[in-house]
Amino acid sequence: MASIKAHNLSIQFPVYNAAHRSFRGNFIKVATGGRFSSDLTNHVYINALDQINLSIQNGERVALLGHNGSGKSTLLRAIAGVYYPTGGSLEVEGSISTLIDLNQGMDADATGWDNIILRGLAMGMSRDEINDRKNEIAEFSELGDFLAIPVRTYSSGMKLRLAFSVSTSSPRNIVLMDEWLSTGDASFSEKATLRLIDYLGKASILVIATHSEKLAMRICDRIVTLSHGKVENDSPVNSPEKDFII
Amino acid sequence: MTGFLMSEKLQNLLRWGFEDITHSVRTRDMWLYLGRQDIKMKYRRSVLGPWWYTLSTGILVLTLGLLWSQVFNQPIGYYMSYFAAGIVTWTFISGFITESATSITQFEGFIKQQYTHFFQFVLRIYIRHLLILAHNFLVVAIVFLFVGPGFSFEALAAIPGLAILSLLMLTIGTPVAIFCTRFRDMPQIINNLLQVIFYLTPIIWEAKQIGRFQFVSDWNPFHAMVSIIRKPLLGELPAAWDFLMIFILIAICTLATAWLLGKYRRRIAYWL
Repeated sequence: MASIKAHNLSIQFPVYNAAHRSFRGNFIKVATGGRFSSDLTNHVYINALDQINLSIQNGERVALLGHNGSGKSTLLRAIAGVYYPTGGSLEVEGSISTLIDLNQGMDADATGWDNIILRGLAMGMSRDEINDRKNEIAEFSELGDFLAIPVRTYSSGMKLRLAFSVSTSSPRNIVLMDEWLSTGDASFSEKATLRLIDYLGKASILVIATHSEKLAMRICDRIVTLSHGKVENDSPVNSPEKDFII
Repeated sequence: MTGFLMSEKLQNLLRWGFEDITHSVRTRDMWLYLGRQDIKMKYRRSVLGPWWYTLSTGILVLTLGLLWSQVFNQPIGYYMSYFAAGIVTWTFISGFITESATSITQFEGFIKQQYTHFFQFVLRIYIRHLLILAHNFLVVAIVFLFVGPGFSFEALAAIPGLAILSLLMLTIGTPVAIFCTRFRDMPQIINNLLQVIFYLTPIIWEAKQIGRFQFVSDWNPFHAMVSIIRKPLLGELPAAWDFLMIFILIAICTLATAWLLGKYRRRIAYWL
């Protein structure tokens, strides 16, 4: 059973400037008995998330809506475990897949095959698991002999295909997405959409940050609107079509 | 019982820190493969590849070895062996420490994607430098066999020496990485310190050459670190003092690593 429970969750980013980051600044602070402390330790903070209360149960498909800087991505990253709450609490149960940056871990100079391993490891898969799945991944990507040459020679669509194929190869309980994935040319895009639907179908919870209300209404059964790091609105979608066809 | 020795809070910090370490070690698929991959990648399109390390170290040892053996008026065969063993070990130590400084910042993209155990990055960088050491060691082997004293039975003691040295390096790497992530001037400071330490450590020169100032190199932990590899290679067992100093440092640095990881691992992502 997967679940996400946030209670008064706050995330505060410190804004560092060179003075805060330098050793000298901190040294002067000690050496002068704090005389300059008002200049040097007046940290500026940004409240990216401010007292969020949110409980997501098994089976829910949640869309996060909101303007740029409203805290959508930060919330995704907090759920992923990147940012530990600076206030309140956050409990997440279940294995997580973050489809935020599909290229993370990939190396342009390595071959397609090597990149399957690299991306797989970055997703937290073991070598054995990658070996078990690599043929399926290769087949789905339709890259054929291209897999034997460096990724830097690929077109951007081909790169995306490979990244997508690896990223969606290992099912997880919780899937976190930053915008819907669209991939390559028309024929592959259709195939990818089907695979994504299947992938999401195996997951217990989907949280997707998006700007598109239309998309949210279509695939999610709950819409959470964030504004300035607070939950502005949290409402169910009455009749989600859940057909995922974009 | 332990509450008498340290507060519960401190115990928790250390436990979290060790948790990070054990998890990291367990994901060896990751750091073992990726560390190797990093080296392969760096030289992907070059003909000599990582043998460039061997070649450039070889040129360094040949030219400077010849020069300084004359400056110091030492037999060429002996001096070159001493210098080769010393410089290769030093390159391993200093290369690793220099790169640990960026071992968190260079993986920013990765860290911002998922929950991360940080010790794995230090392990990955260690693997890189272990591979470089392996390539550089060929220079030591050639020098020892062709112009130097050859290898005696004592040389085998360099293997446990390498294991102990590695343990110390791994525990130094994490504090360096954390400080350098929080304070962005630290990598430069560490770089400069290492440059100075190189000249202060008996690598080009020998400890006995500085006469009554020999206590400086006796108390220099980097001298002990180089010695536990270099001495056995030259056919002499390392002194108990070298081991003692290194074991004490391992104990201190292990605690520092666990404590820093326990205290700051939840903050590190915020510093990036």
